[in-house]
Amino acid sequence: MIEPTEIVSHLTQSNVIRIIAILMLVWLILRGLQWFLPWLTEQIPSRFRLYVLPLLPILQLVLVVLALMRIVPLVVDPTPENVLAISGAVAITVGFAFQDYVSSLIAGIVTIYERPYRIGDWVRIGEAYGEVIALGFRSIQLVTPDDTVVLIPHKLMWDNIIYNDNSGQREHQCVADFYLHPEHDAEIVRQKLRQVALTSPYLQLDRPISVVVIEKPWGTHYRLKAYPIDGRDQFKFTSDMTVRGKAALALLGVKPASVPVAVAA
Amino acid sequence: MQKQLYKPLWDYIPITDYRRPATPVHETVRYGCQTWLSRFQPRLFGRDRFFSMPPYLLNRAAPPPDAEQIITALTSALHGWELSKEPEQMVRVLVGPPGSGVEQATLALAKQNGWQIMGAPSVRQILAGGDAWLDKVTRPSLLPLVIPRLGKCFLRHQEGLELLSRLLDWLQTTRRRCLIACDSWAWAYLKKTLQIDVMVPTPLVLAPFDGSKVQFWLPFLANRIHNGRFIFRQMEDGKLIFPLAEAYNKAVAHYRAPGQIERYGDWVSVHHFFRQLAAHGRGSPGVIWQLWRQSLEVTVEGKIADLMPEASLDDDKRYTVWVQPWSRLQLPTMPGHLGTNESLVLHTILLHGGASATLIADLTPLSHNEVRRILQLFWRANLLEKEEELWQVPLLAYPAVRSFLANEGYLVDEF
Repeated sequence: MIEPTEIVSHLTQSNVIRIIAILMLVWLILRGLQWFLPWLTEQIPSRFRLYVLPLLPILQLVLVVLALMRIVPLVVDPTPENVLAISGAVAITVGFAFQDYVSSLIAGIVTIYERPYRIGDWVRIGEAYGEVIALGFRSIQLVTPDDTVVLIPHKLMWDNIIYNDNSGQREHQCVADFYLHPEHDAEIVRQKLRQVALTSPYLQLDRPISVVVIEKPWGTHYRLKAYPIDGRDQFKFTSDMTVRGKAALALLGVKPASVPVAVAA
Repeated sequence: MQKQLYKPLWDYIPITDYRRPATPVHETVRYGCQTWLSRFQPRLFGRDRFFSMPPYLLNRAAPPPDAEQIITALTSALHGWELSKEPEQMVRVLVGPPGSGVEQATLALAKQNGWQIMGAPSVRQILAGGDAWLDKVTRPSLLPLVIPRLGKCFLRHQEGLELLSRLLDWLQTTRRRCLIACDSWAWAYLKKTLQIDVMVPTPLVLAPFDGSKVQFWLPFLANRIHNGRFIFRQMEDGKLIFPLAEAYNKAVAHYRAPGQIERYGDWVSVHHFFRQLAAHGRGSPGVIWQLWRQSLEVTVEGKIADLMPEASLDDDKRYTVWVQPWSRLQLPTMPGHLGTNESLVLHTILLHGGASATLIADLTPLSHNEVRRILQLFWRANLLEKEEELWQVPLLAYPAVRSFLANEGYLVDEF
């Protein structure tokens, strides 16, 4: 039987000071990294932004592991018996008291490998949609299009569907919808909408443009799909396509659909 | 033997053969180390002795390129086209980046030969489909048709590509000889939007000016008027920047037979400065020429009085012009923290070969006030210049602006 005092026999006053120093150093470096990497992405060309930002959680994890490797030998003598005893005690304590917290931490580590979302991605988790601006050990932060910050614990990853619009890419598809009166030449409208996307200043010309036409009981629904150069401009891009699309359609004499209330419902 | 050694200075080649001059990495590293180490050595000449060359002096030491040579090269490139009866030879296209002078040369050549020149349609005509303009183009004639600014025949607007699309349809079937010049940015955009590259024959472009060509060309420019009275020395050590000055002068004299296209050889080692100049100027003579002018300075005790605009140069005297080291060249740089709006304005200007503030506001979702703010911002940073109502990127700022737009992910030209 191992006595608790034997396990922590290394915990002298000088070691406590060392541990505090290590923790403070790690905290300082972590804070520095959290400031430095976003700052760096503002200085370098935008196209490198999504390569730099995902490094943050990896560097954070490496730092914490290194810190633990330094701290643990200062607290306990890392023999197999001691490690087993401490692991058991920690597992029972954590299992009851911090179940959710630990679940989020473990999910946070899993996200580093699985990468369901990265900083700079546009994701939908539950009802929240926005750009991932920070990836912590326990949670992520999204900024919604309405400039609201949403904090989401990683543990939601276990049993929620995550929609990722760009998955590490700089550009992602945007859709502008047009609802038109059914009496028109669909081919001309389709060509014109394609021109609308093609001449948008936000358009990424290397990605495809598509126009999906769906006939509905109340008229014709056009979905104009294209990619902006920078995913952060998705709302500007969609608005630009919509405004110019409406102008082009008006010039063609195509009327918008008027949806009867009963059908719309 | 001479044909292998000496190549034409001005030469038109297929666009597929264009290779942008680059500086070898090892040379850049070596030069960078030398520059860094030289900081610790005492300066041969104090910086305060030098000042920028006034324009009248610059125009003597670095006069503009001779348009005649460019036109002669173009005539040579188009040899046989005017008389050709092959359907696939009917249309010839010339593409050039800013500073290549291809549009000006095409216009001058057309005037010289009395060919029919079609100016660009107005903005209103483009947006309305340009029926009247197209009628003029498609009217039968025995004279070759020249469109010297194809880039001005479209707008990045939902109604702005129709006219050009119809023009391209006509070009594919016409039996009339057509010569078309297009700015490289418009060409890149039309390739993506209208697939112009598969609708017309492979364009010709001005062969790039690499380091060795630049090293030959720049002293030749000064000597052309003042016959070797300007001496170009490096500011760091006072050495002559053009090697073998005497041998070079003889070679130039030898190859300046009347009517002959200027030729240059690979018989001298190329100074790193000229490699840098060629690489930074992306092989475009106009950009390189502006960079060269920017690098020239004179000393306080120089014979400025002798070189006043009205003064003629003394036959016996030689005038020293000092060349700044590449690392100290003051070039326009992009301001920090630029967003999408700023990129859109610059991209619109380059894509349309210059644009008025009103046109920029019409072609982008930006308000007139926002466009004005951005134009002023870039004008203050020497990244834009205004000629009448037209805003343009000055050639000196072009490499910085192009590089910025490329880094932001915007479509850029292929030169």
